[in-house]
Amino acid sequence: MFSDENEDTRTYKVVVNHEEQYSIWPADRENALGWSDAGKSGTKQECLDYIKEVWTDMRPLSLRKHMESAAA
Amino acid sequence: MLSTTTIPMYDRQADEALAYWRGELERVPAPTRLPLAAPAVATDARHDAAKVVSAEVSLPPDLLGILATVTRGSERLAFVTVSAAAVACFVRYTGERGVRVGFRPGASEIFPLVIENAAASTFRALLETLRQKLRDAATHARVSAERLAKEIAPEQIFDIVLSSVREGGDASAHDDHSGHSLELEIDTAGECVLRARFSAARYETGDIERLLRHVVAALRSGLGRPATNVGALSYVSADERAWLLSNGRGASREIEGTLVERIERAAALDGARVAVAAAAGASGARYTYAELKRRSDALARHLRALGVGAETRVAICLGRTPDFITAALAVWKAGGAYVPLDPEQPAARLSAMIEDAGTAVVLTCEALRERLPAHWGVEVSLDGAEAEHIWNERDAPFESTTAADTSTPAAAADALAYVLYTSGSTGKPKGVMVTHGGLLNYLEWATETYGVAACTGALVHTSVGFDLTLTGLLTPLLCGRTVTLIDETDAASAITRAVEPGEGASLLKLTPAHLELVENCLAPERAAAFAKILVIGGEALTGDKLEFWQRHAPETRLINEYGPTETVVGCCVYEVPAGEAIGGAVAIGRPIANTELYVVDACGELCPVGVPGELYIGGAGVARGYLNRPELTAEKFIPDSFSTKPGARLYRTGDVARWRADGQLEFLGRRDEQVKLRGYRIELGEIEATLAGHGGVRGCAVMLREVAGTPALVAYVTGEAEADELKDYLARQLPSYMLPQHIVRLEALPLTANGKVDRKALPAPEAERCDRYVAPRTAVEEILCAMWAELLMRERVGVEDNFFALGGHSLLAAQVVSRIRATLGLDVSLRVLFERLTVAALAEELEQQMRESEPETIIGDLSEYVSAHASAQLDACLVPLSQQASGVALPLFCVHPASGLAHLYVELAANLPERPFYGLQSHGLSPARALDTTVEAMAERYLSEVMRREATGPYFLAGWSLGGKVAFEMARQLERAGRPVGLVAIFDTAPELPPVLEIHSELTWEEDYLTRSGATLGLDADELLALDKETRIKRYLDAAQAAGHVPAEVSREQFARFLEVYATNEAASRAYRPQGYAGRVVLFRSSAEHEDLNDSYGWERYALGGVEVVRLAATHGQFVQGTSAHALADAMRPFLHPGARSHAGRK
Repeated sequence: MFSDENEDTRTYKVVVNHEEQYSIWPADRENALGWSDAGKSGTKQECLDYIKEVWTDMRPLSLRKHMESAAA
Repeated sequence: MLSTTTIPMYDRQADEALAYWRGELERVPAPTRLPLAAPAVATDARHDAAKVVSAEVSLPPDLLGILATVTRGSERLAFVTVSAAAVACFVRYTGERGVRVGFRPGASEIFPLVIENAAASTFRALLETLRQKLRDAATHARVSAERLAKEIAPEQIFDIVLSSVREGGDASAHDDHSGHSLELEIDTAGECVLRARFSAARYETGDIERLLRHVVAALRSGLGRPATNVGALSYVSADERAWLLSNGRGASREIEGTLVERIERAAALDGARVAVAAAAGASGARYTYAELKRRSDALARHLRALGVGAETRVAICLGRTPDFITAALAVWKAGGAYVPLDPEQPAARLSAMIEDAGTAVVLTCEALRERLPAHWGVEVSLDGAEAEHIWNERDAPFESTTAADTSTPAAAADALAYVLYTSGSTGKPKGVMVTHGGLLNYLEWATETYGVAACTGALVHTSVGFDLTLTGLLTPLLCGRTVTLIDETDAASAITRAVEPGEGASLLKLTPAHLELVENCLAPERAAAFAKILVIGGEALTGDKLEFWQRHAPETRLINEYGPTETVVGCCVYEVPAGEAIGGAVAIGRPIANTELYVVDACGELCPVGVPGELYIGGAGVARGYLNRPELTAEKFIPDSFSTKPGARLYRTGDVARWRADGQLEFLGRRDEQVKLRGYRIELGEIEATLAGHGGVRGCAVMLREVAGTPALVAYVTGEAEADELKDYLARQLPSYMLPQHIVRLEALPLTANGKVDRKALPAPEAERCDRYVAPRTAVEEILCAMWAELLMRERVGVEDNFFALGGHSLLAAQVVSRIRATLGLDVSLRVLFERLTVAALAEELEQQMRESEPETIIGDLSEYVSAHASAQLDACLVPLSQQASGVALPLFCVHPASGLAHLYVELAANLPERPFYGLQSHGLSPARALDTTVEAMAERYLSEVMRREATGPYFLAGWSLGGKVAFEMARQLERAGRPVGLVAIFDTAPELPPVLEIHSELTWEEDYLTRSGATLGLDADELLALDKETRIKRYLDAAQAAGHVPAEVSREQFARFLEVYATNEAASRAYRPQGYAGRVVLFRSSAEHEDLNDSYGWERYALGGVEVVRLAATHGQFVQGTSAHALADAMRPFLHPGARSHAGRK
């Protein structure tokens, strides 16, 4: 981000990795290895608001699975 | 520069041209400056300051061919094209969208080139913009540059010049480097050569050579892909990029097992060795490895039984005690994660943490229980009676075999180890979720690198809520060494304890400020034996802090460790090479194992060597995120596009750093500490590092703050250097816009509990001159002023002078604390001292404490009141009687009885803790002040004080005995003034009877009192009455002082004055004739006495709104004190809540 930006006006997209961890990424940039689009793009704030809604369990997927199988 | 070059001027058009240039300059408010480090200052630097050196690079033949083709042989176009590449590099180097440089397309013309949003345009568009600017300049540039400089920008207009050297042109014509620091000549004659002529004092030649290569690379990439945005243009070569990536990658190593396994393994080697011990002198325990295992097993079993398993958060509030480690290990063995609660933190913050972390269990001890805020979890006090069964269970080793088992290696790395709260920028603390994998990775690396196995152990003095502490807390346990804990509440006291002989441990981790404190209280000859290794972290370190150790403890290893909580304690370290003198900032070095560091520019690309960018951290240490904050986590933990590991994440630190040419990383400051002043972007850390490079500066902090309504840079320095000397020194090193307007010299910088510079506590610059002397007004102020003057070696200290501005520092503060204890018998913490930095503020706190500590003394002989309140507290009528923070509820004001003193309400105040509580005492208690002789006059005076405290009301008033009458009169006056009254509570007082003391009509009040009290001292009443008044008082006082009823320091004048106040109040009470009041009053009356009076004592004749009567089983004399205080508080409570008035009106 440039130093003179009080507000980031770029378009972002919501991305997610194999552990179902969410993040944001500039919409015009290629995804980093192992990350895919979660199907939402917009301003930074819109993307973060979306993540707040959908990322309800912050445990990595493999840990969740491990705990479930251990509990079963 | 400008002043020597004149543009042909046509007067007629000058004004119009001036307007054009003014508009241009406004687009980008400050000249572009390259953020490259200035060369280390040599001793003769001043002589070299004006020296201009040069560097050059030729375009490779293939690129030259492409350029010639594209520009069709036009030299002017070639110049513009290469300039565009240079502008692209400036955008990327500075992280600023706009560019403002000097442009010299011909031999003598020079004008400002201002491009507003160069970052967002394509290379082709940038080229077009440049051509347009050239054309515009030709139209408008009919104004003298001299006039331009004078009229438009008094400061520098540009710092970099792009100039064209063409066939037949003479480069030497540009030898005017008085203003700008760098001129980039683009020589298009024949082979295209880029030649930089620059100030040797400002730039390293290597950095400029690199810049020239970057311009060439940007040109190649721009010509090859002209539709690419400047922000995405690559200007770093593939080799350079490969170097940046590999240099930023730490060694890779396998991490095996779990943390608990590793500690158990060490324990198995020698179970009898001491694992953890409280520092000598403390009452705390010490545990051997075998005991630690037994205890943590037992506690883990108990935690399991309570339902603790994977991901369960358990709060630990145990201070720095051996049981903190017991508890942490037990939590891990049970599969859970711990949340450290530092008992020194405010209850509200602890409460917020417990709530946010959703801790199911809170582990604490008896001594700290009361500091815990209310919570829903199970509370286990490890030294409480109910915990005894935990320790008494069979000694079977704990085996983690339950269902939610996470101690198997497969899951361990991702399992939560702890949640640690750091302050968020919004003020709401955020809980960082750190995993076992990251923690173990750091600990293994640190244990090995710091050679902990070769140490006796580590000494821990910092807060368990600070992640820096984990190094000393855990690395010894991985290799069978001893953790020694100093459980002092204040960091500064702890650090002084650390230097006491006998506390030696070989590893000590501390902040730079703590390092300075240690140096201050350690004799040089003891330095060598103090520690084997000092790990310094938590804040930027400058070389001057190391000199003492390098000189006196050359064998001691000095390590600068950097790392945010979000990537586990430390992720980057620099070991200072033996004997290396470091001026300015100490590097933070290279990444630890399994860690990647990237310095990234505004466009998300790697910054080349020398160019500052934001530091991103990847690898094993990256935390899971912020608890309950998915949006903040997603913003700060981002995809790692540099990694070959799919799905990897990076943490964006918000810190600014740069790679040095020798491969070491340098920390420059926080991104949010970059400030803008008059359009200039300023890195405060850079000013600090420069200041620290001065031999006479020991510590410093620079901040941007308002001074007399104007933003200004203020530098705070410690050390011998004089302010003027520093101003001169800085002026030689830094551009003028970076020079602090104020330099404030302090004896030491104020520190936070974690040992970082407490910027909020830095005094405003006006405070540096204590020309506004305010003399002490109370006895406590007098004592403190004398104490400070002595400690600070000042002739005198005024009550408004700031402790730090006078040269106070943490160690002196510790002395203030101990002297207060010795002279006043009061315990005050350093934290309170740092919150109350003036004598006036501190005295207020101490006086408050004195009042609170005396309820038992005020019951008893009257004369004790006088002694307890001699001089110090008799100044104000309004005295706070509880510590309840203001603003929560409307305060209750209680008026004194005939004695004039309000302290008999202390117990009542203590029973109404939810309420701010003020007592009102007689004005005349201070001999210098007037006596109020009527109830009306008292009411009027007290109201003026009450209204200063509580501006709008409604007002809650009460009083016992005479106080009841005054409260009633205050309510009546408020009503007449149209002010709301919340409550008039009268404690067992009738409107027309004198208060309880019987007066013998033939004796004056004073005679009556002295003869009756004198009888208890064996004084004969008739003898006393035979004396004149003055002698009588003296006789009585002598006897009372001899008997120890009145302390010796109470003077006859004070005592006489007290008797006078008492007598006057009695007279005022008898003389008072209430007038009608339209509101209601609440009468709390004795059910045991005054049965001769009617139910409402006769108040119904004056309280026209009615009287609510509440009967209490108490005598008049003890109505508000002792056991009655509790009953009275309960009886009052219904009338104190917000709906009180309607309630009161129901009867």
